[in-house]
Amino acid sequence: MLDNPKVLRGIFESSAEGILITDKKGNIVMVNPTIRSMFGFSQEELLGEKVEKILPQKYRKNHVGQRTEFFHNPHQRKMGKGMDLFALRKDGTEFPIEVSLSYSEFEREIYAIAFIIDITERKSAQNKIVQSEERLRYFVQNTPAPLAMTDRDLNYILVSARWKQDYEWLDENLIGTNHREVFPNHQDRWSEVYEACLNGEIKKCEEDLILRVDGSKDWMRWEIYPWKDDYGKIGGLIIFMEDITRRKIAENALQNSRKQLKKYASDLEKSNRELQDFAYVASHDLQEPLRKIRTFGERVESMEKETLSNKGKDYLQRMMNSAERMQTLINDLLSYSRISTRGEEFKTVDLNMVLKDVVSDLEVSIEKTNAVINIGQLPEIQGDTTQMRQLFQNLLSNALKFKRDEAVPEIKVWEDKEFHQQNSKLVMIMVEDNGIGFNEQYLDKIFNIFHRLQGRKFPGSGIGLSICKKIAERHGGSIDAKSEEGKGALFIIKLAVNPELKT
Amino acid sequence: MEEEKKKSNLILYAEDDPEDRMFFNDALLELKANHKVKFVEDGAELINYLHHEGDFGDKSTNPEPELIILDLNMPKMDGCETLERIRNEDKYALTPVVIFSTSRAKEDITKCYKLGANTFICKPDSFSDLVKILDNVIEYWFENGELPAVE
Repeated sequence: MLDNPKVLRGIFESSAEGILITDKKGNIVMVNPTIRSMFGFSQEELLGEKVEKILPQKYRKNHVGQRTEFFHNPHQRKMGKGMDLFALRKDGTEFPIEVSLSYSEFEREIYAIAFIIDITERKSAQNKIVQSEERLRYFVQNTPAPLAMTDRDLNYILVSARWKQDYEWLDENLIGTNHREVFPNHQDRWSEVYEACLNGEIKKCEEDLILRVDGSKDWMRWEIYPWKDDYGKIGGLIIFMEDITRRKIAENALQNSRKQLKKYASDLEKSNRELQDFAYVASHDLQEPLRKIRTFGERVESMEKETLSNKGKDYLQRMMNSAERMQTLINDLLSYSRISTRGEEFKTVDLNMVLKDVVSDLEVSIEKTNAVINIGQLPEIQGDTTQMRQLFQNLLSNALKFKRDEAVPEIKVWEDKEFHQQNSKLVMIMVEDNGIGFNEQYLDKIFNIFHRLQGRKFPGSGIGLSICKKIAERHGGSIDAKSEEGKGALFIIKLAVNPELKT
Repeated sequence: MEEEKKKSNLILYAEDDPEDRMFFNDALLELKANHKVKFVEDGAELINYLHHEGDFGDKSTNPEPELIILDLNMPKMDGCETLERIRNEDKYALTPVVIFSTSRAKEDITKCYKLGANTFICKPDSFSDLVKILDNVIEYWFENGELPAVE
């Protein structure tokens, strides 16, 4: 059948391989249609041309020698011998090819026959595999986790840079080293784990205290997985092993400092309580001797009226005044310490009612000073009624006390409703007077306990405003003031609508 | 028997503070009242008195009190414990007891009333106030008020 030229031509014309025939001088004498479509040349463009026309520039020179040699000893062979061969299309692009060479004699002339396959696709598939292998390798090596891949005998096949960094204290190259050599201790304990994993299990340990080769003890977290080869058989292990010693130390430190903090807090609370108890008890016990001093003084005053000299009477009077002043101090100190120790439970307090009561309590001094009191609509809050009363009583009696000699006191109390609209959890109450005021440079001092701006002309213990401050704070709020000497004062009280919700 | 007791006009006052005892005595003298006061130094002594034990064995010199006054802060047995004891004895379950204390603490006051105190009075800061208070107490418990019969 092959003797039939038609058959041969048929094969030639329809072969999926490109077939190219050259003469001894390297001139192309025949190409089949596959060659034409592979290279993009027409038949006319190829016939008579040197075969180097379809080779990239860099191969051309050598190829001339190679083909000359081929004709010296023509035989059938693959071209390239393990090299990647490339051909050149008409449009200048190169592509990988595989070439088989053969020869034929025809009318005493030897012709070389090249069978050419475009292996672009095969190559790219191969590249993909290589690439993905490389990517995997890159990924494993550069993953910021200590990761190792071993074979079934626990020899390292692949380790991540982190693994190297953490565990490469034996030699320069871990690949091929056995995992058991890197961690020689605990192998008895771990061999069961390896066994199980090589049988398909996954093992994990969150905290494992291990003894390292250098004798140091470290906390490790590890996970071991089996990996499977292309045939689905377990080829070895993937070991993740992280040194968590630092984390453990940090955790312990954190836990310790938390404990310490708790202790400080409870110490502080205790000393606070002790301080409050002290203030309470002290002022209570101080009352006793003071009461005696005052009573005896009074007894002397009434019983020895005739016998006392004028000087004696003066001294006695001064003693009594001092005792009375001390009584005021103690009472105020007592109420100050009671704010937190003896505070009542919060319930709904109508500040309108509170102010009404306060005004009626202050009736005598209001009448005495002809003071004009103006009270606007006030809100309801959750709070301690007694303390609210104390707060406003202190502020109002201050306003009455620190009045200007020439002016009738005017006191205004109102709520800044706009403030509440913007801060739904708080209310803001203003107490304004037209009294002597104060220099704002002392602002932060006036709320301090026992601090007094005014001299003897205005008696007092200097505790009133600090009580106000403490009450406001207990009610989730604050107190502030604005003033100018001689121009009255404005006290701004913020209170939580519900102090218990706030904390 | 009952009549006799009513006439004792005796106030039994447990108070450890000598000055307070002195003030009380002076105030009573100032009132020129027809009432007598006997002092005991603490709750334990007061119980002894009521039981006629120890130094208080003689019933003629240690008659039954018509009113008991208790200080709260006393050694050995404080006011509250004494009050509790008194109220647990049938004989004194109804005897008026006035608490006389420097304390103004709400919890003290509430506790005393719960234990059966008839009134709670804060020790005043001045002698003149003490006289006034004592006058009120005598007027209330011995003159205007009716005391329960002792069984």
